[in-house]
Parts: sequence; C-alpha cells; structure tokens
Amino acid sequence: MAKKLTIDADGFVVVEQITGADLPDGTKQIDRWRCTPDQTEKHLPSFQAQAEKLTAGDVSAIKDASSDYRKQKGS
Amino acid sequence: MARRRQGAPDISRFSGGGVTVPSSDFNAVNNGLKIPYEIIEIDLSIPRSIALNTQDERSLQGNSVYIDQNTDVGVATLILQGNSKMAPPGRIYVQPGANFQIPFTRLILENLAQPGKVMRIFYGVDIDFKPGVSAPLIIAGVVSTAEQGALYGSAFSSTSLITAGTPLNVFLAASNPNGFRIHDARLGGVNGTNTSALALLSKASAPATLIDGDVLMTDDIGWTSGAAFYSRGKLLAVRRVSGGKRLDFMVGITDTGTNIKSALYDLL
Repeated sequence: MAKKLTIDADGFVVVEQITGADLPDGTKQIDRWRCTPDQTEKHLPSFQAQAEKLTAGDVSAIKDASSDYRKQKGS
Repeated sequence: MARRRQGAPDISRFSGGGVTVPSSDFNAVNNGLKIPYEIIEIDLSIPRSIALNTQDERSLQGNSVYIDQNTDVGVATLILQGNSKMAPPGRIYVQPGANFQIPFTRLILENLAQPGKVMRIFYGVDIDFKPGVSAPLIIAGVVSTAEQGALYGSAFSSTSLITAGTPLNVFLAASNPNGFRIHDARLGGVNGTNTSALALLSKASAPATLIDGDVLMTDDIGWTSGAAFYSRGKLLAVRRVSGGKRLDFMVGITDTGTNIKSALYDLL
C-alpha cells in the first residue's frame, strides 16, 4: 500500500498512511504528516524508508512544490 | 612658506584638510587624462551563447564591476578572465544593482534575448561601488510575529496503536542532518492493564527502551476510567536538538484504544 499524498488549501503537503485495523471506535489508525513543501522534502528519506512508499510521481510533485515554495520565500 | 600660527596644528604633511590621499589619480582625472570608471552598454535584444560562439567578448581590464539599476537594464551571465585566458573560473549571473570586485582582463557575456533591454556595466580599478537606495523602503503586507521567534513547518499526528517497546517514528536521522526544533508535542496512551509510561525520544538509532536516547518528554499524569487506564504527557518547553538524530514516541504498555501522539517541529 502506498502513502496517500494531498496538498491542502493552505498549500501544505499532507502525507497519510493507515497503520492497522480500525480502532475500537471505528476510526482508522493513521500516521499523518502535514508540512510545508520544503519540510516535506526533508522528510523524504524517512518516508521512503518506511514500509509504505510514496510513488515516484508523488516524490516528483513534492520536489517541484518545494522548489516553488523556496523561490516564493526567496531562500 | 606660510607661517603657522602659534598653537595651530601642523597640517602641512597631509595632502589637504587632514585626510589621506585617495587611491585614484585625481590629478589625471582633473586634467582630463583619466576618468574614474568606464561604462559599456551591450544590447540584450539578441541572444548570446558561448556554445553557439555568439558570445560578446571584450578586452577590458579592471577589478570592480557594477551593473546599472535603470529600468532598461536586463540580466546576463558574465565570465571574467585573467591574462592567461584560462578556463572561465566561474559564471556570474548579474542583474541590476550587482557589484563585485574580481580582477579581469577579458570580459565575456552571455544572455537570453531581452528586447528593449541593455546590459550597462560600470567598471574600473579599486572602486568600491555601493549602490544607493533611491526610494524609501516599504514593508508590504502583514508582518507576522511568532512565539519563540519561529513558526513550525511540520506537524505530525498519529492515532496508531503502539506496541510496547516498538517506537513510533516521526522522522529518521537521515531527514535531520542539521538539527530540529520541536515546538510542541503531546502523547497519550490507553490500555486495559495499567497506566503506561510514555516517552518522546531522540537518538541516532531506533530506541529500544523508554529511556534509550534523549528523553524530551514523558507522561505526567495517569488515571483510570472503568476498565481503561489512561496516561498523558506534553512537552514543557521548546527544544532544539542536534542533527543526526531521529524522533520517536514509545509506550511502556501496548495501546489498545484511541489516543493521539502529536508533534509540531521544524527540520532545520
């Protein structure tokens, strides 16, 4: 199973992975990272070392978003 | 020779007014033999490229360069060479206002086509160009302020049930070459056995116990409700942790019910 990647209305990158069976209250067990694009790019070594991976397209999208974000910030 | 009034300072050994002699040869300047700097203007409407042998090459010399800031000035790449015409030591992307001190005897310019634009270069020897600010500085938009002088860029949250002794990893050391700053962290544990010890740990490798590594926070309260045992903890102060360390949550007793682990931080 791959990680789920979305970019929310604030421009933050959200990466989610379901980690186990449903909880007793019926909700999902989820690990969620919500980061600025440049911070998300720094997480890539961690994300790709975990059992669930991002797709190559997701990785490319994160790097593009991070590059745009750094340009906007002038850094 | 004029006589000096008794008690007055002797300034005859100075060139004038008590200040040192300027490095520029002002006598030659005043006599019309030299000017303090030269100006070249290159039309940028056509593209130039070394690869296509269309670069603009000029035998000029100096060690000070300044790019005019007028609105008709575009951008370009400069390569400054020395006498030996050695391989270009570096390509300098220049835009209006750029100034630098690099000795050169040959100037090569590459540019993309920029109709209506020119590259106006002031150059000379030993000139410390300092472009002035001709308009008041205006800070536009909302100036944000942040507690602790920084905002956080990463937020982790998890409802995963953690097994005792197995870390819940937030990020690996490979994602943290420069250190991280953690602004806030909270953790909870729920099980049917006993109130559980909880910890947030930072260490180069995976922690194996609740005290394996730097303990950034622990549980600070526990209680029971019915058959369930709860524990809670939160970070007490912003911490900055060195690079090369990962960040993990751990519990002493395996979780069995809904709880949240969270962290707000920045990878530096």
